[in-house]
Amino acid sequence: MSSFLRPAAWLLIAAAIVAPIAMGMNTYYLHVLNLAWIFAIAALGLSVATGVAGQIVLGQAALVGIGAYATALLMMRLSLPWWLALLLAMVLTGAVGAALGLISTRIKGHYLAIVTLALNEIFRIVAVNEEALTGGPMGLRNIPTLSIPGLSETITQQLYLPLAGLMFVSYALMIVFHRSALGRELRAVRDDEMAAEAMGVNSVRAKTIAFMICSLWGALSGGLYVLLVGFVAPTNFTIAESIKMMLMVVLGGLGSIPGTMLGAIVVTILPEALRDLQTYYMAAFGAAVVIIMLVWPKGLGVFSDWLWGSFLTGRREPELSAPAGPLSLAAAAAAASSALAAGPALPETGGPLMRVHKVSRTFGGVRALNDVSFDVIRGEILGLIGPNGSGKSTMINACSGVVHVDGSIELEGHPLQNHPAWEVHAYGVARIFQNVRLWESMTVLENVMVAWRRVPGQPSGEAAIREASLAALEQMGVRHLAMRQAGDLSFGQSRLVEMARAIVGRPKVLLLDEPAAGLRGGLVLELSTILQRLRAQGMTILVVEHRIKLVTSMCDRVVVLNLGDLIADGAPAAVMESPAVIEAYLGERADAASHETRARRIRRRSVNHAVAPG
Amino acid sequence: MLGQVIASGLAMGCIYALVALGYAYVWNTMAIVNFAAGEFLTFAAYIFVATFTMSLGLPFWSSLLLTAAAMAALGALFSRLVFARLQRQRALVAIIATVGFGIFLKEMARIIYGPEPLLYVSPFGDDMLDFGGFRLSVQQLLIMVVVVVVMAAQYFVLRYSMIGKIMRATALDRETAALMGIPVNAVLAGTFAFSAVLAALAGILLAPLFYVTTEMGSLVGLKGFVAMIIGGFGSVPGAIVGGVLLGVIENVGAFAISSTYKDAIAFTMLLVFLVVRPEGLIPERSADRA
Amino acid sequence: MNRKTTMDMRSLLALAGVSAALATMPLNGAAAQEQPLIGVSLPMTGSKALVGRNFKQGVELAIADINAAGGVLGKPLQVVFEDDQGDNTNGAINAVNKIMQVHKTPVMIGPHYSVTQMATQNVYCNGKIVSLTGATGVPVTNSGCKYVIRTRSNDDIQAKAIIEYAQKELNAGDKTAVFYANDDFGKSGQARVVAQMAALGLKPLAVESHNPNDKDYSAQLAKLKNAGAVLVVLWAHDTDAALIVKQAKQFGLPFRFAGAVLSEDAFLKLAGSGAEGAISASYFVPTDPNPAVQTFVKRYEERFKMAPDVWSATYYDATVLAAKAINAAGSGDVAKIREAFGSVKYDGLLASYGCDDKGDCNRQVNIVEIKGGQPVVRAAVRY
Repeated sequence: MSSFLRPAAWLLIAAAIVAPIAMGMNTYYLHVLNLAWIFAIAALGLSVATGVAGQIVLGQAALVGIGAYATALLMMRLSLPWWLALLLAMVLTGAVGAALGLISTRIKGHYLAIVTLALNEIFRIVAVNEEALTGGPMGLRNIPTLSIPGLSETITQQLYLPLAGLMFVSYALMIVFHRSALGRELRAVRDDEMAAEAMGVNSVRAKTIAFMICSLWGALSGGLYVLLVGFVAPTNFTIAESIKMMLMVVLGGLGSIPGTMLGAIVVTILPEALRDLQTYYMAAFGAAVVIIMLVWPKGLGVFSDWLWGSFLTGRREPELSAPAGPLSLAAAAAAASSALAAGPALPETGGPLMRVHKVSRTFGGVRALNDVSFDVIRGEILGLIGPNGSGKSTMINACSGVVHVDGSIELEGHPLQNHPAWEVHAYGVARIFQNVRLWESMTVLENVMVAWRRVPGQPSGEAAIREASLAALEQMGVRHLAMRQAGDLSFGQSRLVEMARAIVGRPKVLLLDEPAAGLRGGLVLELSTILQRLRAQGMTILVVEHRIKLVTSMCDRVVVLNLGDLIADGAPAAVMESPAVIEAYLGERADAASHETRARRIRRRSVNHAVAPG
Repeated sequence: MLGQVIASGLAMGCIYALVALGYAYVWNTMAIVNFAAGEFLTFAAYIFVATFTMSLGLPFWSSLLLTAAAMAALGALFSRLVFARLQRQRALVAIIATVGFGIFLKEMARIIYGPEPLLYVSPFGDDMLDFGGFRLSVQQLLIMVVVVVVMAAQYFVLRYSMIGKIMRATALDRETAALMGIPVNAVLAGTFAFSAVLAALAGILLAPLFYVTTEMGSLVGLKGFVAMIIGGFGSVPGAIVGGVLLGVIENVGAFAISSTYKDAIAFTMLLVFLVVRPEGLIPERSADRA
Repeated sequence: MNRKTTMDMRSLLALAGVSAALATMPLNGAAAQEQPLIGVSLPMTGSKALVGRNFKQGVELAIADINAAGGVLGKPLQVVFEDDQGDNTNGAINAVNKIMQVHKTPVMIGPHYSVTQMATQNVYCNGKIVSLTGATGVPVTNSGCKYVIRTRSNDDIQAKAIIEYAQKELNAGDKTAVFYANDDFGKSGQARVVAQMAALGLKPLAVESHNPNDKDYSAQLAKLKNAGAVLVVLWAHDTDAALIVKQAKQFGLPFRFAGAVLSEDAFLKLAGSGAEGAISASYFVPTDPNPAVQTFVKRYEERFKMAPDVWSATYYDATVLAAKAINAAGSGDVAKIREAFGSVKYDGLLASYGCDDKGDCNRQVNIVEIKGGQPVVRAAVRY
């Protein structure tokens, strides 16, 4: 049924698009439709920047305007052919977009909204006043228009099908982009920028690309407008026009590219179709935006996403039935232990892989880390423990490049401290977060694919990335969730997906911030088996954990932090007996009772502590 | 004449400060920016001039009180119906939704009250007061006095009364505040109502200076937001300083540099601040949490 | 039926709905029965809706008069109104397209703004329609379009009249400064004023501008004062101009104002006593003693319960002129109607109309001074 409906719907759409020209509809209708195609292209850029990459742009009309003026001026002043003028205008506007992208790495959220709005107004003022260049308030007229003889008699008719075709091609391109590696990165930045950076996404590059795409489509749309109408004036590119384009994106559902197309068509055509009701139009649109944002965030995207079907989402993984347990960790653990028994010998343990040297960090007068130094030995599982507020998470953040510190952190001799998080990830450091940070609007598989990292000697390319990601999910026992949306998962499932995301790039060092939190008690020990397996695959693991039982069972060595100071470093059993550690945990003088009882109390207490918040 | 320019800038700056103060309060308790603030101002001016003063013929003070009450009710309603639902959303969603609501409000004003600009003559007259050299209109003086009074009042209320403590507690940690028996939703609605009253005040003060049109608030709303950024996101003293500073600098800039690029000067000032001192002049400790 | 199929069905229904909505578009057009002779493109929504209202009332009064006198081509005149959203070029192109393609009228009144005229001339200048406009931008009749008829004198004439009058009567000489609104209206007016001053060998002391949303003009006024201006040529919209003269008075600045709209009703109402003594080159003031104007004002007030303004009068005249031209052509043929404009004469409210080859039909403005709160016509200037 479904397989028949979608082609039928497409046929209907194709007929609806060709009908006006085939039936010889007059140029009024054709012009309105032409505007719809052109606005759809402008809104497409906005859809990528705002919908896909989450960067709010309230000045898209200015980018369209730059494209339009540049195309017109290049044709009029330099007598360039239309295609060259259009191309150069796109390059120029793209450069403006790149600059905006760089600004957006410093200016976020509300600031970006107001800055883009301000730039639109500045553009209008300049266009009105710099008469020598822009033709001033009366605009530029008698711009050569594009005519394709042989198609029909008027420009409106001639350009109708090419514009409609171009619009569909642009959308198809962006839909492919949306599911490409770069598209995934943009969406990761939108959903959680910090997690994206920590998992290897260069957010500066991603945002710059998003803004460039935004301005390229804007410029194309502006240029096409000029080629169609032959006239351009500052009143075409006011803030109201920018808001209208934002309306198209919102109406189509933020984040849905096909939805934007439908949004653009509705916003352009509806006011013309219902001209008599125009007094109420903007009020109705304003209210619609609020309602859509609050109640129906998918907007028209619901329909158009269905229309594009698997072209939108890419090949779907056949759904596997879930393994017996609620979490299939048991199965994964079993697989891991059998692999351990049969697998290759442990890699050579030996010299230090990561060296933390005199690392300090202060937050508003509080010293979170104070001259901390320790080594992480290649192939070990190192536990990082300490009471609350001892600086454990800050240490993990420092090692993954999320937090800047004084001192040095080296991986195989490369300095890592104060490098952007994505560079740290590229060196081979991956992490999970204490409070699970998945990119919730993306599928589980996409979550993992984003974090894939090129390793010399391993195959690359989309298919290989997909295979590696599925394998990582398999290893964590959550392959059956691959096509689920990450936001729908339970906490425990999310934790395992996050683990899969961390290991997919075969990191040299894996930083785990309380991996057992949120897992059911019975599964906690199986986690230890999995860590053994990962170690067997060549990963070195630094794990923050509260549960002393777990720490002693899975760690080769333990370092203890207290109030930012390193207070112990050694084998788990020995560290537990250390007076300084006991004092740190119990806050008592060490000589009051025997070490033995104290150590027992620590174990009990830390277990209680770990269980309580859950 | 420079004194004159500064004095006028000061009066406009006081209006920006009022609007910025509204932004700061809402930001502090709800962590959302209301991009419809300028339209709240417009709507308040219409209610005040068209409904209460012209149609019902009420005297100034009762119109003022009724407008404040109506805007407080509208603000509380908007806060419960729309704003509260934006709480857990990304900043992007909140920005777009409030921009949408602003369009709705502006268009409603046009539909209800028509396209003609409304003239409102201040009951205090438009006499000029001469302060040895430069002149200040009664209305401008009124603006400054009202803003100083509002600033002082909000400071003392926030500092010393229970309301202030409740608001600050809600701002610091909503969950804990709820556990302590603070009616968090009422506090949020109340804060929003207060910010709507500030916008209403700005609208009423501007009505005799501007004519009441559907566009009167849009730019003031934006500049108020710029003022808050310059002063420090969410910082109450920052909003005041930022507003006054913006008013004076843009006017002096128009005088000394170029009147054509007056708005461009205001926005360039914003860009400079964002690059050089993004935390603002008087930063709030918990700045942009978005 | 499983859930997925229901979903698909719903989507298909939605698609059918959208197609149906699209399909109704041409039906609307086909429904029109009697062919109207004149299509009117005017702002009915947006920020210029006020202009559009008065514009429309002027046209409606003209239709009533024309039909009382026997109509056009022996039948009652019918017109259609289409919203062009003021200075929104896309709105204007759509309105003009709709008038040309759907209503197929031989004559169109509007678009009114110079920028929308420039934007739509590519569309309508193909011999299928004649456009009558009150747009005053100089390029409107100078861009090679043969099918535009302009019923108001252009910015050049307005600027020339006001500058020459000011120099002659006020002797401001080189103590003249210019203050304009930073949009198409103010900016193009400013250019013409400066050019006309240059023609007299004068250079403005200062040229200042304000943005459309500005309401505080202290900075600009201070600059004008510092420059030593005595006469300020003010090219701003009526409500803004009112604020400007009001603020100048408040600051105690002894400027004399001259400009384009300083006799409009809105200006007089809003500016109060600050308007006193302002002179402007106006197309129409309701206090004009011309009996035709007085009859028009009386009938307009009876019908619409408000005073007419320049837009009502301009488009009253334009409608009458169009009707005369169609009658003279004797048919709805576009080429003949355009030709008829060359011979039609009409003593209207704004001027005595007579069109030249370029389509300019009016070379007259009135110099008006505000005396005792009322606009008084000082002189009618013709070039």
